[in-house]
Formats: sequence, structure tokens, C-alpha cells
Amino acid sequence: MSSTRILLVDDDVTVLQALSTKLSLLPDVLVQTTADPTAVLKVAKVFQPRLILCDVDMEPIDGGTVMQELQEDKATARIPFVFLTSLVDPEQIARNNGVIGGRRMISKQSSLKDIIKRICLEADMPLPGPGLTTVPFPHVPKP
Amino acid sequence: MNPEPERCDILVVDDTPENITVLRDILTRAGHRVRPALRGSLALRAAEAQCPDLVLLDVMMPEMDGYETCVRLKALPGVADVPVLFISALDGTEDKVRAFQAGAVDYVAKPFHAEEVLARVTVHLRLRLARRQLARQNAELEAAARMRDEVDAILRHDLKSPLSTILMAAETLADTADPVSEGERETMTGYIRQMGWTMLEMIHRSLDLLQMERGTYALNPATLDLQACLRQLAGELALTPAGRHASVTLMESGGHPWRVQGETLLCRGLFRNLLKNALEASPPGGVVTVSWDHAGRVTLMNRGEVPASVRPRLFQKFATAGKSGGTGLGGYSARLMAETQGGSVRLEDAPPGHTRISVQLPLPRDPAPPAAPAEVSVSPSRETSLAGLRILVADDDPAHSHAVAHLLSGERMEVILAADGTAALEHLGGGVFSAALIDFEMPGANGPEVARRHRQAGGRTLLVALTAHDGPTHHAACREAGFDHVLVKPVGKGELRSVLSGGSPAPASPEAEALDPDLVPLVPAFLKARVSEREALAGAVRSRDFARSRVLAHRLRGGFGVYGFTSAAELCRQIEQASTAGDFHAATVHLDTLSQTLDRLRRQFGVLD
Repeated sequence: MSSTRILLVDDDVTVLQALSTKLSLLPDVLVQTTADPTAVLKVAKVFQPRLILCDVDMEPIDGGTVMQELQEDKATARIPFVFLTSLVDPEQIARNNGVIGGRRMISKQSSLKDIIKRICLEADMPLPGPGLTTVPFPHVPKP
Repeated sequence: MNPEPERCDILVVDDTPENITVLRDILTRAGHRVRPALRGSLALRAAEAQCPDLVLLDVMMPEMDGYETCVRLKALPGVADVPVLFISALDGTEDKVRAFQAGAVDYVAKPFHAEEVLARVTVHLRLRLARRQLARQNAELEAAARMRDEVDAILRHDLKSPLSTILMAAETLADTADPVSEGERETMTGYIRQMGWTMLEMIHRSLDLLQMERGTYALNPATLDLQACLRQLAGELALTPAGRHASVTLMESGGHPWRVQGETLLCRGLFRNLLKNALEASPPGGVVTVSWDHAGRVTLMNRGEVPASVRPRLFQKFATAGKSGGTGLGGYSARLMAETQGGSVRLEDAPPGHTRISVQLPLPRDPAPPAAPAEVSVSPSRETSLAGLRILVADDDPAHSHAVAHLLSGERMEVILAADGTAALEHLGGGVFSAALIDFEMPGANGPEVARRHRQAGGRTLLVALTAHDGPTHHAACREAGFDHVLVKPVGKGELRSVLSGGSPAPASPEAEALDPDLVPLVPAFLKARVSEREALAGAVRSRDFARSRVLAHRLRGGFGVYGFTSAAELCRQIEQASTAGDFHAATVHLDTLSQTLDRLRRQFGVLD
């Protein structure tokens, strides 16, 4: 676990609020959100997130364009990028192991718990539980 | 005006006892203490034993004359600046010059007058007193200047990290080759503002630091929640170079606030320094874990070892662990801030290759108000008191059993831990428990076996299986073995409370089924925002602008989906489909139903205007 910064992109501010509220409750996560898809590249450069979660249907540029911009810039090309969308159903995504058309996807129609779980998996973070067990004890090698 | 010299220690050296008697009378009457020495060698021993304030020295003495005695006296440590007055019958200019050359400050001719001797002695004692005072003041000034330098160095050291974030954001804003958008500008200025405030806070604190060093800091402590403070710091540090390199993880503590008695700014400064050091000492990608022991102690642990040579002076000034550009003041100022609040910082024993630092802070003086539950409960009516219950927790993984014990802490229950199935059976057989939480897989006897044997022995304790597996057959096996409840790990406080208070985890109302309790505070604003979007959608459907209604329905659906309003999301999906098909009738019908659903939700959450 090298980083816990997550960048959320969605033009619906209430979606950003819901996700950042839940993610911020995890003990070691720093969430940055933006509702402006044209700002993603700049924000990602400074924020250096571990994961970018991006809506697809947005104005004036869509999620695909955002991803392309990020991939064309050396500083952001390697940041894992996942789409968060209603375009695909949770069942469709589950059947395809989270990848549709070569792109990693999370469905907005999944339960919030599952969305957070998927984000944790994609960001390589420990899975959240309802209580204390969210955080594993630090790995201590045997002397 | 200087104080008059009094009760001074005067060494009188003369081989004639009568002279000593006369001089002693004069000087003791003036309030001084006199030590006589009949020979030069005795004078040296007396001065060595205790440094006098002044020496009266006869010139003509057997064995060692006054000149030699004077030179040898001046060579003794600490005696060099003690004034020596010669007393001699030899009255030639040459003799006087020789006396001054030997280190005398004055010369009294024999036969002497009592008043003259006393006047000269007083003058030289006064001069010595003034000189000493000056030296002391000088040293104080130097110490103050040094202290200010050190505090400045601490400040420079601490200001570097927020400043680097500000510069990074400013560089981005100033990049004319790649102009920023409105959203970027907002984010960047946000960083600049946040870090600017942090720096201002540090500058204020540096003045306090000076007072802390002098011990004149006026502490104004209050009860504060360290967890909130640490969470914010972790967020701020994540934006700094140290935070890019490694990260900070706060260990959960069952939702109880980390209450201590202290000052927010001091705690921020204290932990900012310790966290920053820990992050910098970690290998790339490392994690600094921060945990709380419920007794005012916070423990920071990270990979990376403090060199043995630095360990004893880690919290002293100018101790650096081979860090280039480090001032070695981070640890020191952290200690100062902890001690000023009545706490302490310690380097603890750690596994090889690790560093563990503990910070002890005073607990609040007043008993803490009941801790707010971390999980927002949608139906608070289910909150019944669990006080007085006696619970057995059996789990071979100490991390898990402590986790469960943490969840139950603060409930005034007695919690007994058992490390395996055999121990669990022993406990159950030997005492009365309200309930037993038993891990499914344990050495000795596994969970079902413990349950079976307890039931066979006629035990009627409420048995709860804790299991990592889910699924109907697994649940059935647990019940068959005699468990009353099955909880799937990780276990939440709510479901634990529920089974312990005699109920079973109850599902909420159908509409709120998927609504996350943490989102409840956001729902009113969410629903209000949906109203105007529904109007826009209705407008698009009415004007048969299906491209527009498809986009709007899709957008509405996303929001409803994330918030867990599944039936509303489903209606949006149907409107989306109808729009794609250009089916005006279907779109209108579903829109009507959606409107009703939205209104019902608004009524339910009290936002119907």
C-alpha cells in the first residue's frame, strides 16, 4: 500500500459528495474531487492519485477524452483509471471481471458498499468492513 | 547601582600572626569571612580547596615569597581573576611594579591603616562583583540569541514542507504554455490557501516555542479529539513530498474518539513533526501506522530503523539520522510541545528494521461525555444498553479478538478473551456468560465443536459464530452445531449490538434498504437537486427531445444508483430506454411514476416544500 489518494471525477456534485463521504471514512484515504472534466489532467499532476475514478457522460468532454488526455501525458499516463458509470450493469461488469472493452469499469448501479469495495480493490487498499477490521495490523516480519 | 559586596571570602596570607590578627579584625568587622594562611604553600592549598573572593598577600615570607605565591595562585583553576592585594614594608617603585607584574591589582604599604585597607579591599570586591554580573548578563544574552537562532531553525525546517506544496501549485498556475481551467485554478488556490494557513500557524507557534524553551508558555488546554487532528494532518502531509513517498494509516479504535487534554496547535505541531520524520524515514511506499491505546497514548510505527548512535538523542537538539538538509530539530520541537502539555515522547522497542515512537498526553480531567458512535444509526430506537453483560470472545487470531473487544469497549461490559477452542470450553464450563462470540476455525476445538460440546453439557449461553465464510449451508451447519447467530467477518458494531441485545440483525425499510447510513445527512440536498433535474427531464420528454431526455435520465439514474435509491434508478433506466426507442408514451408513464417516487422520498426525508 503505497498511496491512498483517490481522485473522483463526476459532473454530478451529489455523486462526488456521496463517494467522498464514504471514502473519507476509511482510515487512510485522501479524496480529491472535481466536477470539471477539463481540470482532471492538471489536478492529477499535482495530486498524483493512486487511482482516478471518472464518470463517462460529462460536458464539455466525456470520460473517454479525459482518459486519453491523461494517457498522453507522461506524468499521468501510469495512474490507474477506472470508469464509474450507469452505462453498464453490475452483473455485466461482474461477468467480465471488471473490464469492458479493455476499460476498467464500476457500475453506479452497484450498491455503494460494492462500489467502495471495488474502489479499494482497484486502488490496492485493504477491503473495508463495517467496523474495526478495515485496517490490517502492520506487516511485521519475524525477527 | 551595584549591590555592596558583603560576606566575602578573603584569604589573608602573612607569616606574622599579629598582622593576620589585625587584618582579620578589620575585615570581619566589615562583615567578611577571613581564612588565614601563614605560608605561601598553605595559601595555595586553601585557594585550591575553595576559591576565595580576594587575597591579601604579604610580600616578604620564608620558603615562598609573595611574588611566587601570587603567580602560582593565578595558575590555579578559577583563581586567575581573583583580585590579589599586596601588603609590604618594601616601598620602592621597583617592588610595586614587580607586584603588579606578578598579577596584583593593588598594593598596600606597611605599616597600614585599617581604613585604607578596608577601602581598597571594598573597591576591588565591588569591581569583581560588577565584572561577574556583566559576565552573567552576557551569557544570558548569548543564550537567548542562541535560543532564538534555534527556534528560527526549527521554523525554517517546518516551513519547508508546506512551502513546497505552495510552490508546486503556483508553478502549475503560472505555466502559460499550458493555461489552467477554472476548476484547476480552484483546486490550486485551495492548496495555496490551506498551506498558507498552515505556515501562518507555524509562525505563531514559533513564538510559543521560544516561551516553551524558557518555560514561560501559558498553556490553555482543552479536551480535544486527536484522531480528527491526526486525520487532518495525514491529509495535509499527503500533499507534501514526504507524503508522496510514504503514507499514514490511522488504526481504527471502534469509533471512540481519541480524547486528550491539550492544545490543538501544539498537538498539530507535535504530530506534524513526528509524522513527517516517520514518513521520511520510511522506505518508498512505506506506511506509518498510528494507533491509540485508550489511555492517552498514541503510537507511531514505521519501517526504517533509527541508527543506534542517534537513538539516545533522537529527541534532543540537532540529532539527525543521516538526513541531508535536516536540521535535527523535528524530534526536539515535538518533545518540547509534548512536555509543555504535560506529556512525553519516547522511542520504544520495535521489531528489527522498524521504529516505534509513543506519545503520551494527559487524559481529559472531566470524565469524557459518552462517545458518539462512529456509525450513524438509521434507527436509533434499537440502541439498548448492553451494560453489565459478560462476554466471552474466542478467537485464535489476537488481532481479531482485540478488534471485537474494541467494538464492545465503552459499553461497560466485561469481555473475556480465549485464545483457542479448548480455552473457550474451559471458560464456558467454569463461569456464567451472557454470550460467547466464537471464531469458526480455531485450533484445539473449532467453533462448531465448542458449540456442540457446550450444548451437550447443557449450556444455555447465547452463542454467536464469527466466520469468514458466507452461504446458506455454512449458516445451517453453524445452527445445527448449536449457534444462535452467525455473523460474517468483518463484524460491524451495529450487528454485534443487535445480536447481543437479543434481537437479530434487522433489515431497514425497503426504500432505505440500500441507503448507506453515512449518506443520510447528504440525502436532503441530494433530493432537492433531483427536483430541478426531474423538471428538465419532464421538459425534454414533453417537447419530444429524446436525445436530451436520454442524457438527463441517464444522469439522474447515476445519482439515484450511487445513493442506493434502486427503484428510482430503475425508473430512470426505463425512461432512458424509452427515449432511445423514441417511445413518448412509455417515457411519460415512467416519468410520472418517477415523480411520485421522488415526492415520496422527499416526504420521507422531510424536504417537501
